[in-house]
Amino acid sequence: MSYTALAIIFFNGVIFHIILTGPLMLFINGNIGGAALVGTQFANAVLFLLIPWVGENWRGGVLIRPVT
Amino acid sequence: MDRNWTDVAIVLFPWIGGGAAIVFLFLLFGTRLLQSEPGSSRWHDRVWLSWLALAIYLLHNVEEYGIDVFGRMTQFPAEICSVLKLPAPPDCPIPAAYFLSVNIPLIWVIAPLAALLSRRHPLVGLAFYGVIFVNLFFHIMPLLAGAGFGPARLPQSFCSYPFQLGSSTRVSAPVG
Repeated sequence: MSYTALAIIFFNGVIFHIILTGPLMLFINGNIGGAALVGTQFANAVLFLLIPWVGENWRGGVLIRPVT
Repeated sequence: MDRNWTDVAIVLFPWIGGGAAIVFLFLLFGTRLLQSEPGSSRWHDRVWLSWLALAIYLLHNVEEYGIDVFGRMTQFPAEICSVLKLPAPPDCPIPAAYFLSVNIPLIWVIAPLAALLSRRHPLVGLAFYGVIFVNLFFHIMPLLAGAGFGPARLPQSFCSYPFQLGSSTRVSAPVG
């Protein structure tokens, strides 16, 4: 597995935490309601699976080829 | 604040997950069922590592939402409210449904799905280590900064295996 693939894994974790905390701040400040807050977290879980899936299929799987 | 089913669920879910973690740990370390190639090293097996990530996070949930090293129950929501300078639960405005919606879809649905897909989709299978690694940063940094030992720092300290990311560079990843 390439270092780019590891970077995608790390980037995915960062994005997950941004979507984890961003809507919470919006909720606390009264910008969104509880249903929207919960909804963003369901979407976050789906996105969490989607990002590595896309990364894996990017340009025919160039990112996941073993380091040689 | 009125109690509803989410207030009950947030108390129960870490223990249900903890029970599942024990089963997964038995399957991971006591059998070769969760390995892609039974004869090879577990630590270089992306399928096994994917299932391990799930077990780690289920245990992590026990300390965050179950009981921490000081015997405090459901301490993580209380700590979040404290960090954000909000009233302590049950007066904290962050609903229990938020914490459930963060953890249940990701750990009970996406993580097992990712592990099941890991044989053909290594990046998907190992994706959970991204959450673990970033979480490690947020849990360990306050400890290093002298803020003390908070909920979930024990599993993050000893179970998250940041070295897994390094070892995963050696995981062979055949395409197809």
